Amino acid sequence: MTSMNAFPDVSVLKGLARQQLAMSLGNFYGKKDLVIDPTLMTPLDRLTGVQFLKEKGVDKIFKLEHKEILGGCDQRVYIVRPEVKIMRQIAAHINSDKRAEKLRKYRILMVPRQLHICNMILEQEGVLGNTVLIEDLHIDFIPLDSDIISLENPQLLNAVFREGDQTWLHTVARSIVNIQAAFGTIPNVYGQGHNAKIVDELVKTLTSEFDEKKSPLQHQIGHLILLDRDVDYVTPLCSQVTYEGLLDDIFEIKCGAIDFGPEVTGTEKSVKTLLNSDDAIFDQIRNRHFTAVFKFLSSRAKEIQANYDKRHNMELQDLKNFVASELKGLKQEHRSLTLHIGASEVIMKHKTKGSLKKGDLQDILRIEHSLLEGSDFRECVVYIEECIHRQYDMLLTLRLLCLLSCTTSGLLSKDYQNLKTQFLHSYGFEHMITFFNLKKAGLLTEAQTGKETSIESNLNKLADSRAVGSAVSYVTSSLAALQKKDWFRTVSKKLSLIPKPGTENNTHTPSDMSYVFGGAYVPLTCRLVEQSLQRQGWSGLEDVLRHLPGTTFEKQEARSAKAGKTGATMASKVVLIYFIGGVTYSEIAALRFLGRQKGYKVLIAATSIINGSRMLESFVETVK
Amino acid sequence: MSSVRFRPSGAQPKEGDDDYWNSSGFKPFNFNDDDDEEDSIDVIRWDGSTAAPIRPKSQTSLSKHRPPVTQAMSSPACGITSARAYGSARKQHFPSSPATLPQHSEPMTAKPNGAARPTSGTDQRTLTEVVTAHSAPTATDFAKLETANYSLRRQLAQAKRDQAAAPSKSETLCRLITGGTYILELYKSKEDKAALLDGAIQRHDGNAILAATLFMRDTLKRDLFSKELMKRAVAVDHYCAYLRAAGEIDELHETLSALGRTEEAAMLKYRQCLATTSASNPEIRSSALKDCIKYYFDCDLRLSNETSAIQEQIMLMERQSAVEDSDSAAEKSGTVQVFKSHPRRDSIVYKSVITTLYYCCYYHWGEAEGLLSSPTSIKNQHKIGEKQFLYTALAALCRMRRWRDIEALLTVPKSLFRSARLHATIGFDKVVDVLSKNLAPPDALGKYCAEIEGNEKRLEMAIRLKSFKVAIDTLVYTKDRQKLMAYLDEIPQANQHMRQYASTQLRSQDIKWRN
Repeated sequence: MTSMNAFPDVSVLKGLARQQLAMSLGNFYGKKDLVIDPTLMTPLDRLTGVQFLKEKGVDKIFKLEHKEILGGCDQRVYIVRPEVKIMRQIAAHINSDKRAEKLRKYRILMVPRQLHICNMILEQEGVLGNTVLIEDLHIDFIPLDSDIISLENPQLLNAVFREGDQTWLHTVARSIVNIQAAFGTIPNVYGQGHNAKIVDELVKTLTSEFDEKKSPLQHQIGHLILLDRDVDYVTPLCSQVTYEGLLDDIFEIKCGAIDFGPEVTGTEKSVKTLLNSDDAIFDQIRNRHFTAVFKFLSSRAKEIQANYDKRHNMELQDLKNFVASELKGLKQEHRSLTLHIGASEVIMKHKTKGSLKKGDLQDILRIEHSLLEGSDFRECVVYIEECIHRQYDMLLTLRLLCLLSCTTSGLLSKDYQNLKTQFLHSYGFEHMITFFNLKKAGLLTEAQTGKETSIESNLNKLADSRAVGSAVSYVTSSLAALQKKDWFRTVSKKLSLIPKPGTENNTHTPSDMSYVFGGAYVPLTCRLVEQSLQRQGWSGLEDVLRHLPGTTFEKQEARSAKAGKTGATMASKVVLIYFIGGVTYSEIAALRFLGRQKGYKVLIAATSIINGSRMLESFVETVK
Repeated sequence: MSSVRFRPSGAQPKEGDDDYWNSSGFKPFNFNDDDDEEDSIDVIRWDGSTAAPIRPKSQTSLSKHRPPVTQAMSSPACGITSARAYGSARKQHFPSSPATLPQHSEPMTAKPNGAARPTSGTDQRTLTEVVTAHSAPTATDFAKLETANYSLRRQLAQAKRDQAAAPSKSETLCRLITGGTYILELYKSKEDKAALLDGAIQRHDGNAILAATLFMRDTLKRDLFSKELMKRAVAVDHYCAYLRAAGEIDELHETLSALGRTEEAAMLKYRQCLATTSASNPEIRSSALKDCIKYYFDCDLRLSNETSAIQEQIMLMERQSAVEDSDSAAEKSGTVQVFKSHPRRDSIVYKSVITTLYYCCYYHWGEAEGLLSSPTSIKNQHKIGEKQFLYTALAALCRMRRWRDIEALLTVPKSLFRSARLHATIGFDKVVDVLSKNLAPPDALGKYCAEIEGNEKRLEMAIRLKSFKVAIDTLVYTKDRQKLMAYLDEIPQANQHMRQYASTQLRSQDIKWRN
């Protein structure tokens, strides 16, 4: 095994996905139109281009909407997620074509697989027949960067963690099976969480059902760590302060790309740009704490200027070389530098000035730090009330509310009711549904005080006796786990997530993962990763893990003689960390730091990239 | 993965395949090696041994077995219904052990047609070859053939009897999980259905769980289905998620109620009520909400907080609709000055309490409490806290540029023992913050800026807002001469008055400077 292969090249996955798509389109001979599920637009964009699709005979491309598609040729391909709503839309299209006596052939490609209900709905709508063909389109991971792969499936969070619907876990498991097919079977698996456990079991089932032979490949990945998002809701609820995190919070990064508006570019046009390690400047600053970014950018700007200036006192031959070799690179760097400086300025504005609906970032950070430390509880409540009173951006207010609840293991009944009433007054009564959703997901809960009034407990008993059987769903059981008293405090003390005051963390040259939150907090998930790698398993951590929701498991392959091989030793330093329910850029930055510090190569997989707002958005009620 | 890849190649040969079976005398061969694998074992062995070298070749071309599955799904001639029916017949020859089929058919496959399907010629030869190759067949050979023949016959008979026998449950589940064809309709007994569901739950595949659940719903009596469902919490979760996605609200409500999840059931109905009336007028919505309370909320005392919130919502809607009607009429008439100078942007119907309060502070400040549009009346009816009221009123009045009203709002009238003074429950730093973010000019701010408690905070705010006088006074108060001198440079030249003031202070003899 050469050193080239030491780190799994995830762009292989992109090639595979393209191949799948090419195959599906190629098998449908002739000219055809493409109708794409809006949620798949950006992911597909990352995999293919219009050129690629044209080569495969695609004529026009439409977005799937709840309205008729006018025109188009006599063959049509739908690329969609297997969802009920979408099936109905497609059925409506086909039926309206039928009514208009338009003869068309349809192919429905379901990403990543067809589901029983989808076929059932299409059957019920009366559209199945010999002109409609349903196929799977197995696209799972989209490589966003050389070390990030994502399923780009944000709805999984709501489905799995609120509704307890396991359908998407199959996709998660399948993606792991595919990874193992490409990079060898991963010998060591550690996991924490109810769903992580399910995924681990599904991986076994699928491997045997698909009759995949144990991959003959020498494994390139030594460890797989599976983590449920509900193990740590606290981290995504915190404001991000690394550069990439801030970009995501303020501008929103979609599938590894970002849209910089006029305020950043300084011109009238918006610029869409890819954010990955190919951009040398971005690669240097993405993981830094924001305060360390500006200095770097300005010194870099000077260097580039100096390089440009070189050409003034050059001989003709040198100048020719300069133009041929360096100039292009310089120009690229220049362009990227301009963008990032523009973006930093906008971020600065957000940070210091605040706005009518956002509040000052500095105040918010101060409150978050107090919440994480568990100090000044009243002051925090007062600030959150102020957010409600001033009708700040609802997701911001909710984020702080959830953080308050998660760090204190549920709000006291009095505070809960009080804040809820004020919230409903400010943002609308319909949000009592939002509160309910958040309660179900375990994000915003009312603490069980244990000394319920007798009326209340009687009522509960009454209601429970009416329930048939032992219908304790996953959701309620996980809730119970979350309500263990003050579990966050206990865990954060045991894992020393909050650095001791006085150990000032230098944000310019960080010494510890807490730098991603300005030295205030080490993300719980990242600490778990660190510990499990250090201990090669969970042994010794039982005391901590029993406070966390979900089950703990580990699987290790006995160290065989093989371990002596160079390939294996190299692989033992490669870790795949899989976040079920999404990962934030702050966690990614912390894990990259951990990798550098401990000599591990870290590959991060997630069901989607999230931040506080996007995580909460999926629980917010939208009916007006 | 590969199912996609090989589908089309699978689709075509199938017809040839069928042709072959119809024309040849080997029909049973294909149709019969169904699930009684024990019977077929000897056949396989015998076959496998003769054709062993060929098999790997064809297997590499079909990198994954289970072509039949793909075939049935992708054959353009059949949709899902026909696929299922089709499957019932075809299913038989794809038994649970994936090895059986390929071994069986592939030996006959390879030779003439390359990687395609068996042709009659090949097969014929295989048999005759065996017989003729050894001119003098031994007794064992005969015995072998005899056995093979016998078992084939038995399989044929079996197949005729079992035309519609279900494959094992684990086989069906496997197909559900890996995306193959399956027919649930073959399972008739309640126990089988339940076992299927339990198997799906055990394997953790949501798709299979839901398929099994819905199959039970469609084929079992209502109360039997409920009983079986309620025993399995995971199935309930999946079923509910499906009902929600499919919009089967009534069924979902019934299920949740039966489970005793009254809060969830009530929320569901509340949401449905809002969703169906979002385009209707407030009267319709409020009567729908009243029904909603009556049927779904009143019955559970634990929902009393929610109930009162909805009641508040109804009251609010009544107010909004009255205010909206009178204001839009007033705006149209064109006689009311304020609507001309500050045109209304949006209807307030279905907005939140605070948004409504803001609106009323903006347009109807100071109205008597008896009027529906009076801010005070909203405050009292919805029990809006003092702080909340202040924040909202300040912002609205500031936008209206009603400085005098703001002053009145922040003044505690003179009482017996104290003269009138400024007071704000939210603190003057917040007052100034709200005013400045609502774009109040500096001179309107100065007065409140001076009221901020805490020298540092006051100074910081005054400097940020360029409230020079307050900043200078604060620096004088803290006797910080150095800072004041530095600050002097920050006062623009144009503001001679303030520069003068600062210089005077700096020269003043009465101040005992710290530095």
